[in-house]
Amino acid sequence: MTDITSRVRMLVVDVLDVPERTVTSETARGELPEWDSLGHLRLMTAFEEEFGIRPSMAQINDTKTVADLVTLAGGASL
Amino acid sequence: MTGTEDRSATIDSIKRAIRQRERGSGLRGVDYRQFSRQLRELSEAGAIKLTILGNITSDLLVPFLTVSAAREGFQLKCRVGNFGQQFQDLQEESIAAFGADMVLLLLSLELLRPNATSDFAALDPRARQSLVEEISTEISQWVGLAERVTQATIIISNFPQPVYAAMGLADATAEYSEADFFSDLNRSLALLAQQHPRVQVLDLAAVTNRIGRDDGEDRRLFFVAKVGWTERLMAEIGRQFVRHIIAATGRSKKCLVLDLDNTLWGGVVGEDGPSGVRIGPGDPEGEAFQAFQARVKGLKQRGVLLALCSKNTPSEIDALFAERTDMPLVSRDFAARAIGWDTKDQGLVAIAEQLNIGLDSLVFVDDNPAEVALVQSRLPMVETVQLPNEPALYVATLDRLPYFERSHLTDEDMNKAEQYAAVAEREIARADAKDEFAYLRSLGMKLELRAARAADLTRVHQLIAKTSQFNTTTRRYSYGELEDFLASSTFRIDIASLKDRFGDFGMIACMLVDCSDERAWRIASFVMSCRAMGRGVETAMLDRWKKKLFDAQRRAPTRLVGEFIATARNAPASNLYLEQGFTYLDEDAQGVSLFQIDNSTASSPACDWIEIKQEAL
Repeated sequence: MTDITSRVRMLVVDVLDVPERTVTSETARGELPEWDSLGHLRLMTAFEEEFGIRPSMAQINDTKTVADLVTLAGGASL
Repeated sequence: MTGTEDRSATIDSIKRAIRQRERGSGLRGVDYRQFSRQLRELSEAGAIKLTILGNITSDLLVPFLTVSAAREGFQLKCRVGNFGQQFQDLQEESIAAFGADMVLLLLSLELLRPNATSDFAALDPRARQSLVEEISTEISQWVGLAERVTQATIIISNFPQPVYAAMGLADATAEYSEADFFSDLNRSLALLAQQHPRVQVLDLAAVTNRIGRDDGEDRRLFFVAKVGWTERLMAEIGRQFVRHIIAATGRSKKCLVLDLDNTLWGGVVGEDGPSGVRIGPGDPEGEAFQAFQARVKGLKQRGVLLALCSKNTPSEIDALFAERTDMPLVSRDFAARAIGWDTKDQGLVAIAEQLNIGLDSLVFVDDNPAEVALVQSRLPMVETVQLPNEPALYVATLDRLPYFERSHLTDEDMNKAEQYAAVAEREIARADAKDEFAYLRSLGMKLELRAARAADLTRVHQLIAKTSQFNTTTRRYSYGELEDFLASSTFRIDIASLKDRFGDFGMIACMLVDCSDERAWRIASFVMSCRAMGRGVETAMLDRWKKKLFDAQRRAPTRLVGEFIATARNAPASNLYLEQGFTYLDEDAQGVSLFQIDNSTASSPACDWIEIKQEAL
């Protein structure tokens, strides 16, 4: 799980191009100016590529935090 | 992961890195995110500026456009307009401030006219037809507005037809079917491009077909974000867009250089003999090579020069071309050849010299990876193409190359290869002539000089964009700028067209003269095709102006000023003004060398070797 957490964190850092220290499990959409609606789209498409998971529209919409992404990557439903 | 990229990256280093990545893991291994970040960190000086407007969330497409452009050495800086505000965004002053070189209109039909897709079956045939007219009128108005507010190249995307028709099988027999609707709609966009030289059509329908709808469409993203494209499709759109960049900037390659054994035919002529190599019907491999030759011939027909660079005994190749008359390509199709036992890089240098074009205008194709690697390392400016092991895939490999794109084919393009074939005949005339002047007189040259008209601008634009040697300032004017010059009462575009007894060169030179200061006419650019060098064309063109100067001189002192900016390539033009009797004046603050002539007494050789037909200046 911690491995997935750090992969998700690094993905968020990389896609949104923000400093590592600004991203924790609790970081939520809207908290970082870079994680706006467009940033979210970029993040979700990159997530799909990285983890080979195709989130549904509902999951794209309901993913609000780094922790939600971790859950999604772990295969557990939201 | 962030902040560790090499700060001293350049567009060329990124281009090399992308290609290296591609060699390692194929096109799909290219990390668009990483490369687009590196590209964002480059200085923006010299970047091509692209504004994307329309009703598609194009932001996600941007990295695919910038990275695909960088792969071919173009730095692209993109700005995305507001969703659905393609008209308002054009009226904004910001487009002028951004200074777009290219404007791309991307429209989703589903969002533009929802009833065209959802209610198609319910519309009566006349309503469908008027819908086509309505949409094409709207786009045509947008094009008109774009032409007024920017000098950019305008690119409009067309519309992919749904893969399942609203009326199902019955579409085939329906009056004004969905197929009719899309073909008329896309046809109307093509007509726009025909009528407006600055407009190009991005064939999104074809690009989508290449990937296929199943792999290209992402309906989740369409509903969530109003951009229904997968990354794979966006990467292909990026590659397609590069073709438009090449066409818009006139940076197309001039010559395709081909290996022979196992490239143009199967087998080795030195071992199998002229009749033993596989080419032509009856053998699957022979048919694949024949298809490839036919495709190569198609490139020649649209103005690409062909050349041969191979390790063979020349007499065997002559024998093969003489014997195998069933091949699509014949000996005369090749404008230059380097056949022998020199290395391929030596051969390519010889070909560039024979054709008097730059090495960076060559694309080299070979089946042998060692030869391709050698050329890559010794002549990095030559674009190289490694053919796959399977001859059946040669045509697709050729088709994927973006390098030969032009938005319009001019008469000069269509006749280009014939003109080069005449080069050899002229060389014989030169060898027979007693001296240079006797040779020039023997050519029977006819030169036509006149002011450019609107119909000439496509060729003027192409000539200026593609000429690097005999180009006094290497200023690359956009089509829009040239239109403005033509409309201006103080600017003058002079053109020259040349014929001789061996062939018609078409328009081979132009000069742009700024007469806004009536005491000092400035020659902002003097450009001449390398094919016309050494013919005295420049003397004839400048004589007209000297005469005008002499006539004006009687009323008020006037000077003719020639500008020159030295580049790595334009040495052939460096003595133009001194040879024509100008004197060196000064270098201005921008580093432009100025030459002037203020009377007509300076001697200029009369061009008695050219028959000149001219309009009064």
